[in-house]
Amino acid sequence: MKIFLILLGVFLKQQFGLSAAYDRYVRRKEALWQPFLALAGFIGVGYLLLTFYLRLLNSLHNVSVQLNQPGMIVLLGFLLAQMIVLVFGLFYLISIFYFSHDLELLVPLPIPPQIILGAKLGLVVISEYLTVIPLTLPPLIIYGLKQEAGLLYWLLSPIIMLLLPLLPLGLAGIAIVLLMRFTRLAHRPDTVRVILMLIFFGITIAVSSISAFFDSRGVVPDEVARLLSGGPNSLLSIVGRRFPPALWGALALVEPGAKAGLNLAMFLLITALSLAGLWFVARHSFYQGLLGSGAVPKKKSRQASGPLEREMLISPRPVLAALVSREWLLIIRNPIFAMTAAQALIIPPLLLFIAVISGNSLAQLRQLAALPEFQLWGTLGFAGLVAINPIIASIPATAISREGMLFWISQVIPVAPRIQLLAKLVFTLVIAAVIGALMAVVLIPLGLPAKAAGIGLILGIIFAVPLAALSIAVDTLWPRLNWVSPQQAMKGNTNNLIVMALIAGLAYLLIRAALFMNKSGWDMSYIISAMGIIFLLLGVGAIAVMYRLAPLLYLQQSFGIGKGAETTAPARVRDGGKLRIRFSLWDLFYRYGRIILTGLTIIGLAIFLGREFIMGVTLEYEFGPDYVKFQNVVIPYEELVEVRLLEEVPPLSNRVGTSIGNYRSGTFTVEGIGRGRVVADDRTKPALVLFTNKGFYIITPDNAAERYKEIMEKTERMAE
Amino acid sequence: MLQLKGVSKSYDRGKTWAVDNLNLEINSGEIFGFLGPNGAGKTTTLRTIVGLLPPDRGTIVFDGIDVWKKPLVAKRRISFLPDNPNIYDRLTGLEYVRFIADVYGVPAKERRERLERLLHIFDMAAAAPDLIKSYSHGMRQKIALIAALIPQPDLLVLDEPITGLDPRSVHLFKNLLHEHCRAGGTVFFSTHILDVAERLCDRVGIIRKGRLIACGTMEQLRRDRMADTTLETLFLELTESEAETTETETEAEAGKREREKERSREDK
Repeated sequence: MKIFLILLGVFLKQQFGLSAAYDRYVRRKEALWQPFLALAGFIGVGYLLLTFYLRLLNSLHNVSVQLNQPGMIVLLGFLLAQMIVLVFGLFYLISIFYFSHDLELLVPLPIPPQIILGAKLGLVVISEYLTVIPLTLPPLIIYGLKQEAGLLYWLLSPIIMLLLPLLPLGLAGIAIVLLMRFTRLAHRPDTVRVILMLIFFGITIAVSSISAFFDSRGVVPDEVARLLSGGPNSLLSIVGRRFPPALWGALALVEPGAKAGLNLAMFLLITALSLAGLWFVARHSFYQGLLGSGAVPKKKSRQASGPLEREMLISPRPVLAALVSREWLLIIRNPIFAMTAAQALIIPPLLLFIAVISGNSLAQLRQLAALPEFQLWGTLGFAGLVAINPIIASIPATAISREGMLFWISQVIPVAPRIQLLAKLVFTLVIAAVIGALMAVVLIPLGLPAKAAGIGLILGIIFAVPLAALSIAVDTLWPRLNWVSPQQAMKGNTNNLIVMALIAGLAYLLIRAALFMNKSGWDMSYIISAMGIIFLLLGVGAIAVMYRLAPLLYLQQSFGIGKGAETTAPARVRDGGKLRIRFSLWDLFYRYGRIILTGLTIIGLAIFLGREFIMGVTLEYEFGPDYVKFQNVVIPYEELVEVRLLEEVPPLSNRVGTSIGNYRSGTFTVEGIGRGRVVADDRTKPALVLFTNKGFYIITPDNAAERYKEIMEKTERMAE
Repeated sequence: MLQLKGVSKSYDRGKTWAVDNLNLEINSGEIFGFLGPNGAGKTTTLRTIVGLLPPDRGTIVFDGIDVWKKPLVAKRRISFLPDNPNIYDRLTGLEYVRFIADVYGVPAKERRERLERLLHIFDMAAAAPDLIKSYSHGMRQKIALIAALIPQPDLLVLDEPITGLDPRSVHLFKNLLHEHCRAGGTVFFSTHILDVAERLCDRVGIIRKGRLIACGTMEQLRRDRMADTTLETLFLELTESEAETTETETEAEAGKREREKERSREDK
């Protein structure tokens, strides 16, 4: 036990940088503002997220009480936490059990394998608490307070909450140890990562396809009614069947008396069994899997080549071509980089494809394509897609970060930094062009006019210039070079967030500009030309910025060799024998811009998503004297061209918006009507359809029939 | 000629100096060995020369070119081999060498001749088309060396180049360096292997705590210490005597502080 605790302590210090933080902030008392700023940021973002989560839970609780299922939020919290732990824990456990660098140090030590694995599991469990506690504590508190739970509930709930991640991690651990024992995957981290990414990729596609399928089917009210009629918390067992231990944990808290005891016993037993199982397999199989029967023979790529072949392989190229080729090889030969890029390059077009071919979207797209306006919007939309694709794939925003420990090579080669950046830009444009051409090949048979695809592709490459140059400029300012796993360089790189936020702002302005031109009666060819010119100018500007920042590459610390100190800021000047930091706005931006912009983006995203969530579960309709208002929509009665009363909300499909439980908020394809905005609860009957010249809205106020009469009377009076 | 004038570098904003006011001149055609204990400032010095680490103070000039004012002009004439051959391991050996030859603009004929020769010398012809990822540490070191030598630079800056090489490769490598210098090139390398330094270098410099504590030919160093001894003994004597001096100074300072405290107590 003592060794276990010592190991766990060391792992925690290493994982969370506790010793480094102690040394810096307590012992040397350096940069004390950093922990305070981090704490303030954490509290700020945490407060925002928590507020949204609490409001969401509150709404869900109110609904679940109405349905006589008060324990639902506890179960949902448990299920969500355990599922997240199971999926992400699997990734985490594999990397920490088999691919962490400390194994070389630990294996030769006289420590039993199950102790090493146990301490590593402990580290993962503690790390997972950072997810589990924020997800499960709020529903536990809301349920406890609103249902006036007894003392036993308050005593048991924290214990069950802390035990929650043990079971999924235990099960995932057993699966991993056995998998590694009987395969040689422990020697092939890249292969494992690719397999995991493919699994993740598969899950994304499956969830999307299933969701599209159910969206197109709509809800089946009779089925829901049957489930609800089973008495208090009857729905829990149906939902919880997907992962029974979460159900046992929840029922141990929300059921009365003996039933609770039984569920608690089941929960504790199964958790203990999973840990015992892991202990057993770890003891017998951990080292066998880790060490295998010796190193996997290294695959030779080619056999010895002769001087003639070598001459071909080493023939001279222009510098730019050599640099672009380097970019390509470094992405394509690294499975993680290749998969991350491919995932982002292929998934959005694939989802688009699924969305188009499911339901009746294909016919709609073809109808749309026949409209004269579609030439303009189709062209611009396709161009946007071509331009944004490599950005979503994180290719330009991580162009320098990807070099990581090998960045020193770029610093010592005799090639100007701006030429190196230009090569990264050219590489991004080539990717945009190739993927754009592939998308055109897929979309033309589906209804995208060939002319729109052709012009869109060329325009898309022009659009990609400023976006890519801007992204590279951001990575030039704040490259993340000290990564260990390639995922940190690409997916975990906050430069992506900053770039996406900047591009979202830019796209908003440009779409408004295009709409304005269209409204002002500009010809389609003028609008397309104007957008092309705007983007060309923006491209020139962005390249100028990128070039201006290029010399910063020489100031970055390379971590690959020698000491890895903090980034050398350009403001470091020598003044009378002592180093002094000259504070200017530029220096502050250079030093802290990344953290500030990332923080602002996260807060903005949290506000946006939170608002969407709340809007999704808040259905409030205000019927004024001459208008109806819901969410952010106000419809004056004078704008209504038709009002219909339907028996119920018709089947919906192809959602763009929120769909939580029976709540629908967003744009849907409504069977028998077309595509329009729905802000409704499926269960409330009847439903109102309000038609205006801009489109239609489906709402479900409590007294829809009365509202219908009221609106009809008012509109008739107005017409008179 | 490589000239370092008053070069200083600090990693903690001037509290301590990794390199402290370093002045050094290395002549063209010379092999200069840079010695020092761990953490003495060798790698930092080398990195400031090749453009990886801007010095906080001082200038570095190679053949009249300030390496930090005209980095590209200087870099075209300098090759660098780091202590840990961290190179693109997902490229093949040939692809890496080709990339380096491309960016240095080595013409086709020269690159072919040099490559064949270097691959033969280091016995890497068979392994060159394989991914660097599959190489052993020594093989990585060899391919990194080949890449550093293929542009035939005027200045070769090598950080611990011998570590990881087998005895045969070390022998051939030493010959290569001599050949490079005979052709007018300069070599500046750091090493811990004093035996190699003693036999290979025209001059050596010893650095400790960022300061150059000795510099010259072996003869000059022996003459200064008035002892007919090996470089190893000289190195140990120099670094230890420096350490003792520092310790003695520290003790003297502490004693002085104590005496001052006592005096002030008595005054009170």
